[in-house]
Amino acid sequence: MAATAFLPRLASPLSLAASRWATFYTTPYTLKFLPSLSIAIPGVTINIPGLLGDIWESVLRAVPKNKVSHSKKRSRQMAGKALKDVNHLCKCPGCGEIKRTHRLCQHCLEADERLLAAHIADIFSLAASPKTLLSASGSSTLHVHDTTDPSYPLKQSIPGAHKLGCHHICTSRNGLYAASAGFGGEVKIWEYNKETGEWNDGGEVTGPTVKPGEVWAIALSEDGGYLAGTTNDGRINVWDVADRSRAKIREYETGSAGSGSFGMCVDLSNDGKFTASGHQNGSVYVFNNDTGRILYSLSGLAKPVRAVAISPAGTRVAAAGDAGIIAIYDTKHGEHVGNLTGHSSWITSLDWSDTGEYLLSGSMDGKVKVWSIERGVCVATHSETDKALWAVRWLPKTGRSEMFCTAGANRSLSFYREATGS
Amino acid sequence: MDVIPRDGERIVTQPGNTTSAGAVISRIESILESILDCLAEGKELCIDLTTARDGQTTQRVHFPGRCAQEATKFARILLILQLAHDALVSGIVLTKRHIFYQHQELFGSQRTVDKLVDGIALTLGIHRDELNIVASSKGVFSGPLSLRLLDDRVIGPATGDALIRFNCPQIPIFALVDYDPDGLNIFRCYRFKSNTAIQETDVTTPGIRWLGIKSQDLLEYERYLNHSTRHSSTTQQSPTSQSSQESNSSKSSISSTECRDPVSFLSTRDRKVAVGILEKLLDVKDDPEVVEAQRELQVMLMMGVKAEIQWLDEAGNLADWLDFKLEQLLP
Repeated sequence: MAATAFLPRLASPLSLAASRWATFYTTPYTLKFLPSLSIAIPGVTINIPGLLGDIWESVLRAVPKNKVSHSKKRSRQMAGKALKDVNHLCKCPGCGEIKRTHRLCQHCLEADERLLAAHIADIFSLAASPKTLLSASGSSTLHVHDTTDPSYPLKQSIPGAHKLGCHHICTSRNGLYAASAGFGGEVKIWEYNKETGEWNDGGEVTGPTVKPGEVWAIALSEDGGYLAGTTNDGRINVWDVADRSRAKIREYETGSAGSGSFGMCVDLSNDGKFTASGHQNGSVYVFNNDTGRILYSLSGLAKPVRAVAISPAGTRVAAAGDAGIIAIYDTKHGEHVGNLTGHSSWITSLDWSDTGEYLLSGSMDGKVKVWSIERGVCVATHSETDKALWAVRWLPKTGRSEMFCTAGANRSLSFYREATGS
Repeated sequence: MDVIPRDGERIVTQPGNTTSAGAVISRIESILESILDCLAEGKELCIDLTTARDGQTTQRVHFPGRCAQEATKFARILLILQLAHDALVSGIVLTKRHIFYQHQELFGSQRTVDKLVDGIALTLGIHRDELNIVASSKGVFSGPLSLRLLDDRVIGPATGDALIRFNCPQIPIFALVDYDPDGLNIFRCYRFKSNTAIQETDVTTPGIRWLGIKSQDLLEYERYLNHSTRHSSTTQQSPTSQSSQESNSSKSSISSTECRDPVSFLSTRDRKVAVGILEKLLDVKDDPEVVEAQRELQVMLMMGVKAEIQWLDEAGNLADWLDFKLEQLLP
């Protein structure tokens, strides 16, 4: 009798604490997972006193009450399901701190990040060439930063490039050409002058094929000869930009004519064989540029695909977007080879490192992640800001270290350096 | 799609009389009870739905049913029944539009909701209004309005629109518009026109300000939800009367259906309109609100999504969100 008297008193603070933890952990997920649940059993959520009493009791009865015993816990641990000790540690050659072998040194990353207030508006896109970094923003000016100087000075600004602001900018792999697409629907080509180290106006891509709504995301081929652009109705146009007439040479359809899903992103492979595009309805397409046909229609993300990137060797396609998952596909057979999970917000940008070893991803909650492709895990996470990141880019490798840059709604460029590269 | 006084309201008037509301509640509950009985006996769930005006043609909707459409229809009917029940219990009037926004994906189109609501009303043998569901929201006030100031000056009578142009300096005026190019255009019109009015009359008069919806609101909605649950839990702890307890419980019940996908995608037309507004905004210089609008339009195009005001509310109740937002903006 005495036990029953004080038991409730003892039990209540415990259960309170437990429920508080439970809410703390579940809040981020409730929004996502509640829907399917409440469709399936809407009856249970109805609030009618008395009506549900019986059912509620049986639900309660169905809940397991046994506490996991010590021996059970131990046997699970012995089976290798518990956290393991971390013993692959080494000294970081860069800073001397202890780091995990084969991982980026968090300490070095933090020590070496730099912030540059760059634009007066959101930076929507970044593009890198061996010596420069181009940034495009909601203002009409394009900025060029010198990446050979450790302080990344502003080398050149191109005023009036896009009257209404610029949403996409890209460079060719050889670093000689750049292309930018503005909110007004115009597409401009830029040429790199090796002597002055500046970017010069290379003219506009014009004609009936370029009009508002006709060009959204863009990508340049390795030598800057071809430009691919996505459209509102899901087509992908390819222009021959080496030629001054800048004629449209190819058009890929991704649905029946004029009814495809909005093309949110596009990428060309280094060897020029493939074009990949990501769409609002979650589909990812890979085209064979030689035959001009669809090679694969890749499904699995279901939500808008905001970034697509082909690996430097052309063997993998990474796609990501609102689902918060990075899906990796194989270009040989179009197989889905794996998912990288960890982002909790829309992924806006992806970029492969030069070697194809690492993948960089940026998301709307301001987090940037570096993924090791070989091991399929996230090796570094950084959040300089809680504002949206619109673009993340590796800088072409100079010397031993890998560097990347992020930009977005905080209107500045953040540079990160990995100290060793090993 | 409109300025606050018209759309941010909670309608408190109840059509019909209360005895009828009680009868309707019990009729809905009897339907739900029969479903529970089926559930308990392990039988297939079903609802009889009258489909034609004459009250003769009835359709039996089963769950899980023979095809996916039937299961979906069952879920739709059940959700509407629940919302109507909650609305009747708490004395709130819902609009068909609000019901649609409770679960856009489930309903697919507004027409589906309209048809089912009519069907349910026929099945229960009542008029749609008696379900506390109306076609569209009516303003808190409409028509001429006069304001009596403390020094006994009287402004007006003027309509809501004219009042905004009147620039009553004591009252800060906010615009709550849809997060889409047309919504921003409405705001641009009010802001721009009140700007010219400022130049003509009184420079110190603050213009209309933009309350939302902004891209940040879409991203922050989760944070707001946390805030509101904290808020409601504190009110629940205080001793409350029978009626307020009832409305609290019904509210948590409605927010249990908080499962809609938040937003829809921009159409080609939306994108064209957005670019058009961006061009128009180029002419307006040195206005912080316009700079923000410019940024929001660009971000909207980048995100490729839009959201209507109804997306923010909880079963037709915007008041909590407005409190939360105005608290931040007003000193």
